[in-house]
Amino acid sequence: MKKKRIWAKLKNQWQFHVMLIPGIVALFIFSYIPLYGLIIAFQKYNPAMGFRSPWVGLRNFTYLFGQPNFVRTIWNTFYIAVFKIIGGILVPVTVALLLNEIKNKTFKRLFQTLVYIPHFLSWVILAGVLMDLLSIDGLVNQILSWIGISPVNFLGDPGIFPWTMILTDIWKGFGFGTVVYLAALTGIDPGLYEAAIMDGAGRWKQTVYITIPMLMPTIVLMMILSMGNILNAGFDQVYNLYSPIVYQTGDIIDTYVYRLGVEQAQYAVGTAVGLFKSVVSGILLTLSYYLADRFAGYRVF
Amino acid sequence: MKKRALACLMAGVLILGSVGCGGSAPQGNEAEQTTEETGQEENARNETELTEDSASEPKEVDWRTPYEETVTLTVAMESVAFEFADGDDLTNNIWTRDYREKLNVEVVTDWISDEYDTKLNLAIASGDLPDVFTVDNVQLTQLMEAGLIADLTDVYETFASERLKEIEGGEPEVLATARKDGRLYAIPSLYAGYQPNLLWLRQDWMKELGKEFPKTVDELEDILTGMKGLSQGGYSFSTPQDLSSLYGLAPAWGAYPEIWVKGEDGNIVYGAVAPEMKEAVSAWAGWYQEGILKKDFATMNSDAVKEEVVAGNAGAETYGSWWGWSEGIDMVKNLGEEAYFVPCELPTVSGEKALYPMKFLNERYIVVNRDCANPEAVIKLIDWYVYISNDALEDMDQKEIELHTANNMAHVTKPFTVNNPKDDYSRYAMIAQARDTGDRSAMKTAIAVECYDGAMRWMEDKDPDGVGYALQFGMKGCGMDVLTGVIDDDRVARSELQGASPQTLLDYGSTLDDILLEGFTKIIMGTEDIDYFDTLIQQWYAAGGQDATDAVNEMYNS
Repeated sequence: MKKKRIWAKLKNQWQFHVMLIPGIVALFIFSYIPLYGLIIAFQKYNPAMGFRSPWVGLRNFTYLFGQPNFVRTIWNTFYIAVFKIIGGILVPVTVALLLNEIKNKTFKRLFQTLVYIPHFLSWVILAGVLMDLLSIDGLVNQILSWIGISPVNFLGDPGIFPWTMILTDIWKGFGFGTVVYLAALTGIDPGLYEAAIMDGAGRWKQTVYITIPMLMPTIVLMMILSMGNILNAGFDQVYNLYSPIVYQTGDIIDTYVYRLGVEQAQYAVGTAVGLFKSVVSGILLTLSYYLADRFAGYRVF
Repeated sequence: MKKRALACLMAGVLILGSVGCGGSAPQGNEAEQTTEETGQEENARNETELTEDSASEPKEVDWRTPYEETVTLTVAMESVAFEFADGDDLTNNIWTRDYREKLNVEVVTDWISDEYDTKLNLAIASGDLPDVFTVDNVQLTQLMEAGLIADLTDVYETFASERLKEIEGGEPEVLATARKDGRLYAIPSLYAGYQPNLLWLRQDWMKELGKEFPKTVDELEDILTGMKGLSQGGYSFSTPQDLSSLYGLAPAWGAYPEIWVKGEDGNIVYGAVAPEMKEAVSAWAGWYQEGILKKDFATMNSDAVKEEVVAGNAGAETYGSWWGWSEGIDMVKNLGEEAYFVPCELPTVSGEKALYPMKFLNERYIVVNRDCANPEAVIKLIDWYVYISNDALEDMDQKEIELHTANNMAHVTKPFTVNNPKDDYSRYAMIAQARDTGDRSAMKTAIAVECYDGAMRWMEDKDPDGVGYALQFGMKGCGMDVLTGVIDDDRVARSELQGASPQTLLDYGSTLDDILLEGFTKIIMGTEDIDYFDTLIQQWYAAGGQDATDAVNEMYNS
């Protein structure tokens, strides 16, 4: 019975399935075949010998976790990434809600464009700008001194550095998030608001009982997608802004591994880390998807 | 890849063919071959001719003899800012014309990249390598293990010029690292002379303070405290976040943070964890307290430090003898002709003369692809470079040789570059003689004349572009002048690790140094107190320092 229904469906929709083929082939070629390269995580890889390099079992992993400073980088990565994810959802949602209330179209567009710009600049460039702005005698500290706050070493104080990373990353990315949520807002059925107004709901009640619940699926989707990045705290950003004095709180997995071996082309260790990160991200992604289904009733499929 | 294999196969067939048919190689049926294949074919034929030649007269080979038929070599290069003469470019310049006209060798650039090592690693992994390229010691070991590079023992013996053999022979430890099982697999590029860090002090501030060069650390502190008042930045000694400028000064306390030294018990230890280092770090922490170091030096990279110096915010740092090139020119242009640094010897705690650290200095090796048909052509081109940079003034005039070296043109010769490590010192001796006696004929190499004239441009006409020459080679008391004194007294502390690093050490990358760098920075900035030094050293040993130390001792202390 069930089998028959699948066949009937296929017969009806075969054109769509044919259209899927190129995408699947591309995915297979570029995402699945390269998985074979993961074997070098278990080898003493010599680029000149390729995949015929000698096998070493789990040595690359035990070596990595035997490094005393590696464990702290996992914690730093996790810490920075979690707050980036939380901030990266809260800030754009808030800004989108506020922007949505603005009736002046010109101002709305202008603001939207301005906050979107940093998203297009690479961290190499922004790092140069930030280093000047945030240095002891930089612009930000000068402004702080006018209101009587003593200079803050944003990039050189281990206690502050992770927050500098989190805040500058949110600043760089919130314009993009805002656009996504604004798009979701325009998709809400105006009928809902009209009905609410009839029932006497004010602006605040409309936001709490209509806008936010209607935005929830998008928020949950963005959250699930970002779970895959829980062990990516942003190599380009941290690498361009950190220094030995903030290794304690600012050194993340990627920067550590870069100094450990990638500079010297130790691909095996690099691959071992990549595999480790993928496994952790995979587990978290699955878990968050399950939780989203369980508690928010959200499913992609 | 397939194409290349096919080409090799065809070349092989042709060798057999030309030997069998007495040299009458068939021409007609190869009309559709690509240029690459034609090159290979010619290479192959040249090789047969050469082996025939060397069979009849084995010892009498002159590297200068040009090939009868053009030999093609493909190379990989790192991008450098070349300034070509009008109409010239990478494939057609004074060096490539030399190769073509004097030796009948065509050099074809396979690829050029400013991410040289990354690109090369990819090329190694994919097996698509040019004929000639340079590698670092890790890559060299990998390529030797995989058997991808040619054994150069015989071609080196036969085709290396006397001068090349003399230069390479002067560095037996380096040459040993290019061998495996007694066979030579690479030609070390060597290094441009031994250049330890000197102390550089801003000369107009020294005059204003009325101070002499410091002999002791106390005198230096006195100067630095005085300079603080003259600096716009409010500090005086400049160092980037990697502490390199402070590390350069460490010999003042008898500490050698970047080399391996013999401890009192006869075992080799890493200089940065030796007890002398504690005194040095403790002194620097005092400097930070007093404001001699910049408040946020720990976040500044070397570019930021350079900007500070050029802007007149600092008055002292340690640097190699080429300071004038990297900062002097910009500084003089920016702040006027009196604003430049002058070099002097490092002071010491006791006032005795300092000993200078010497690492293993060779970084690059020239290697030849196993499939290259004419490895001897590589040696010939290296010979040509060595000839131009050391002996050409006997046959050519100054102008012509300068065309080869000025405006960074000497870098176009990569990967056929072998530096003469003694050149800087012999060059300075000749320049000093010419300067002191007024007799220009004392200078026997073109580069000496170039440096002398460059220095004069600054010393007589105050042309800022001559500052680099003047401060390194020209003036009395220039960088090479100070260094000559060091070498004459043989005040050099050689690293115990003179050669290849053990694999254990390489595996740690820079993480071991990073532990110390982080800890020292904390002590200097006062977030930890000096007693933390001992904890830090224990951490370092636990994190792999012990492994690395054992490996170094096993390799070099038996």
